[in-house]
Amino acid sequence: MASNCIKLPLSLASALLFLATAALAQAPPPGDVRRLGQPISLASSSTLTVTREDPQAWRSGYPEFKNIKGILVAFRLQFKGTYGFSFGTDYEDASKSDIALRCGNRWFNFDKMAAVNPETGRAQIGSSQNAGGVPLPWRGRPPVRHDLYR
Amino acid sequence: MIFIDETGFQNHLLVLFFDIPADCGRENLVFSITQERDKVKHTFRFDAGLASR
Repeated sequence: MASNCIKLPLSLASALLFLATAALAQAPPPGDVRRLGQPISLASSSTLTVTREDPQAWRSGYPEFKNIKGILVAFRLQFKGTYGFSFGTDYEDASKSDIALRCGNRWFNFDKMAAVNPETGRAQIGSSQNAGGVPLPWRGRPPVRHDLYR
Repeated sequence: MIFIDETGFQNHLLVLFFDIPADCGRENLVFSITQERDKVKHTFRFDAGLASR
């Protein structure tokens, strides 16, 4: 009987430890984690920050980005599996694109992209043809607007 | 169309620039990212909001 009384707290402790470990293992990384398809209002995201790869910082360090006038959106992809995937861009109707920015009833495709390597912190600049060394080819029509540099 | 072929690419910070009319205030902007061809529930981590115009 006494041994049973001792076992119970130990079992509870083990269960709690297991639950705590599981919770930590599943805790999302810093930032706003969303599933694809959940829109984000940029107005409510103004407090989000980027630490190591501060877009403003490396933006100023790369001439390609220095004079860009526009809206910047930064995010990380965390997809499952061992394969990549694709995003579709519809240049005729941006509302049909997989990545778009909506302003009221108007939808906009992105005009330029970059990728920052988390290991090196280096930005790889995208263009209308490629993503600057990243094997991330553009397919189909290049972005329509070329008036980014003003 | 953007193809992301490398598994290791998923940890990269992707930055997109949108050139939109000046009359679109920040309070009206909604970022949407979907991927309808693949039914796997991918996630993304939204790291940063805006840069100046």
